[in-house]
Amino acid sequence: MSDTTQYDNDYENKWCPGCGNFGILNAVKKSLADREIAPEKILMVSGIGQAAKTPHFLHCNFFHGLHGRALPVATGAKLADHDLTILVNMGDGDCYGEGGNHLLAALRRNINLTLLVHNNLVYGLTKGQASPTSRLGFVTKAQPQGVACQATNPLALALSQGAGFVARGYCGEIEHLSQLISAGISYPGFSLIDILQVCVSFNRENTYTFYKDRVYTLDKEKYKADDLHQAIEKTMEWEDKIPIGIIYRKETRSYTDELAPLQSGPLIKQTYDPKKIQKAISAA
Amino acid sequence: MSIDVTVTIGGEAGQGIQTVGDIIARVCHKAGLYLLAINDFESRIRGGHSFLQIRISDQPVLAPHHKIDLLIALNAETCALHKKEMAENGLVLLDVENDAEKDDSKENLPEEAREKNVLPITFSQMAKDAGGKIMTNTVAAGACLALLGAPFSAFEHILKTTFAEKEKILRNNITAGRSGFDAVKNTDFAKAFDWPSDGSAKGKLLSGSQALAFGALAADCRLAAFYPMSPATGIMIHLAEFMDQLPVLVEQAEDEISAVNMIIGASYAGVRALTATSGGGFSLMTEGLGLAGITETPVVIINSQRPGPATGLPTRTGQGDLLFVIHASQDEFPRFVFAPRSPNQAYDTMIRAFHLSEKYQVPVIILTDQYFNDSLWMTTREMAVPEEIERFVTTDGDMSSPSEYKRFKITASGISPRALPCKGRALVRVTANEHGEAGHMSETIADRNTMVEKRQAKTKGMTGEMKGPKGYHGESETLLVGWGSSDGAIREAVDLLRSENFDVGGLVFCDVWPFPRKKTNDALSRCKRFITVEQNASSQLGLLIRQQTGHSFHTSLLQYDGRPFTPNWIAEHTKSVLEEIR
Repeated sequence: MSDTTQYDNDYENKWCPGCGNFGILNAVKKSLADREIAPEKILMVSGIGQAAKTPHFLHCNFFHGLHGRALPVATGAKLADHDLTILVNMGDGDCYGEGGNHLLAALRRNINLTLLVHNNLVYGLTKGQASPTSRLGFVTKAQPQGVACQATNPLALALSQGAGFVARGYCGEIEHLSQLISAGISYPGFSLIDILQVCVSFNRENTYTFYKDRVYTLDKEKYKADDLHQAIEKTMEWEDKIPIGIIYRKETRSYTDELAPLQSGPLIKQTYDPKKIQKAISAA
Repeated sequence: MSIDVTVTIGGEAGQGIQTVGDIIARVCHKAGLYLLAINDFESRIRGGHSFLQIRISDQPVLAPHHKIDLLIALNAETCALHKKEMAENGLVLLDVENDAEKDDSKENLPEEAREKNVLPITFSQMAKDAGGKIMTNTVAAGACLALLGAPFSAFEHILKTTFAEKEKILRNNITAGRSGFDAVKNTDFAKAFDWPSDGSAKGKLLSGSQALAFGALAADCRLAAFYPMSPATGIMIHLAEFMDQLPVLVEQAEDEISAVNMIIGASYAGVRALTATSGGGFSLMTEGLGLAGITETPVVIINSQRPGPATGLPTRTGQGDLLFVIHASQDEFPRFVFAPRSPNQAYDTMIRAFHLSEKYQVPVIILTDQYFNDSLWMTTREMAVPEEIERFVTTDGDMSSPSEYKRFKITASGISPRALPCKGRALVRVTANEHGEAGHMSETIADRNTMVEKRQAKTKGMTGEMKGPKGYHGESETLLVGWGSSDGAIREAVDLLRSENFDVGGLVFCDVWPFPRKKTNDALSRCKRFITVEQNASSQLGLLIRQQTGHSFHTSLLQYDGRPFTPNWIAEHTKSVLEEIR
């Protein structure tokens, strides 16, 4: 195992003590170290929220953009240079709320990005409103009588849209999560890793104890993750037992393999040829 | 101009108006004539009323004419709708079903079209006889060209290039074209003219959308992301035609928000990137525009205007977004705004836009409109592709210590050396939050003030890049002042007015932001008064000029009906204004 300190930086971390994001950050570092990806070879793209601050605490290239819009930025960067290794960090509100349409499109495109959703079932940065994954009845200051709509099931949604790599991790299982992230990075298409994240400040229900009592690891020997119907069933487990691991994975090709102009290499590496352009324009 | 003929082809959407227009335009172009074709259509695929209007001349044509010399009516409604626009000796050809019972062919005309200048022609029947009703357009084109005095060989040549691969279809079309041609050969048409015999095209025939697409290619644009929206979609369609031969990718995004964020991501990663939309899509993009502003990411955004607000008139033209795009997004940051006056200038502006966007690391907005994008124009000079593209990018080799690279390093010009991510040891850290030089979030007073001032500092250099408005008889007592695609109509209006001894000139802006204050002051300093000519309801350019220079417009000629200006409209209204002063 290689050194994770190469990804440390001295930018002051202001996450709450005990925040589940720390576990996720450590798992990211571990995965990058295991895969021996140097800091300067990583591009992390994020949206807005506590999760989206992750790249500031990692020694790497990053683009910390707008709420909900990390996937389009990452898609643009990948289309420009498909040799890049791009990790996308978003929160549940960021990805499943504000950025919902972009998630649908990313699933359809199957572009080779690894999306880590820090899913704490609540809004942290804006101090405790309901998120798309908050349960029916979840009480907040903004929803004092409880949330009146049902929670979204992001993994089932992704599967229904033809996603090729769907996994769930838990911020309390760092080694396991780092392996999921590594598997996501090596997957040739779009990989969605929904990460159960504890919010110690605004979610008093889904605590470390709550997850400790419920989370179980899918046994790689018994659960092959290659059956879509079985996978959809797995995404429905929640109340008593919550599975983590790779829920579904299928053979795939990346979007960038399908596009004609990218067949001669990444756009950024192709050459500007004024004569060829002049000829093409004159013939049009 | 010894030749100045306007032909209009009208009918329902789906009747093939475009095909007739296209054939006529290509025959004229090939013969060495000048032309401008405008497209007037409703937001529907079938039915309604659409028309294509072609103005043909032996001199460059800058704007549409207000009178029709020859109307090809594919239905009776077209006659009624365009009756008032017909020129004195104008002629209408109406497609009718022939009724053999009636001796006088005029009796075949529907009642509403029984005017003396309406000539019934059995276009559809002739097409059926030649092999299929689908060739009605070819028959109509043949009749039109015969009336204009075109040699049949010129028509036949274009048909041959159109149907080169399909021998039987070509044969039938030539028969169809011939029958239309022969049907009117004994009809006198006052505007028939002698066709040039040298037969060399005087420029390239292309739409405004094509000019913009070509400019993007010449500027080395590699990624174009968009969400379909009239009248901007054509630009992307034309770019997509090159995907199999040039390193350019056109990506249809899930919405405009995604499109603008995609090009920001692509530009951050190192390729030149473009999006194109109309006002409604641009509204959705304003958040992303601000992102490009604070992250200092170069992007080029085309806003092809149509009347609004909201859906407005989807397929029509307007100039209502000038003040919007100058100010769009919360808070302030520098940006360029250009409104090209012609297809050649649009092509050049695209190249300039990408260059300046990367030189100053700011977004560039290009304002065009439906009239500009959808019309068929002729270029007046060659469209040259730059030999080299300067990218203004720094690499590890340029740095003494790449590990200490700071993306937002403070400099006197406000421009920080721009490195690309994952291309060396220098880490490129960028955030939409306010930040320090290294690109990490910061809320300190010092960082906030420094970064605002750094971004604003670019304005000085940017203003130096701006060209002043272009004068046309700019020394005149009264100046007509406009921007963008109104240029041609303003210049022709000036010609009309000067031919009646009015001391009137024109002044038309392409570079509008940062506002070229000094150059505008100079251009306005000698006139006695200026009148703004714009396609919006408040004279947005006039307000901007007043804000920036203190000069007030005498009055404004404003049109916001969604239709393009005609020189006559501008000239007549200018006359009324000037006569009032007398």
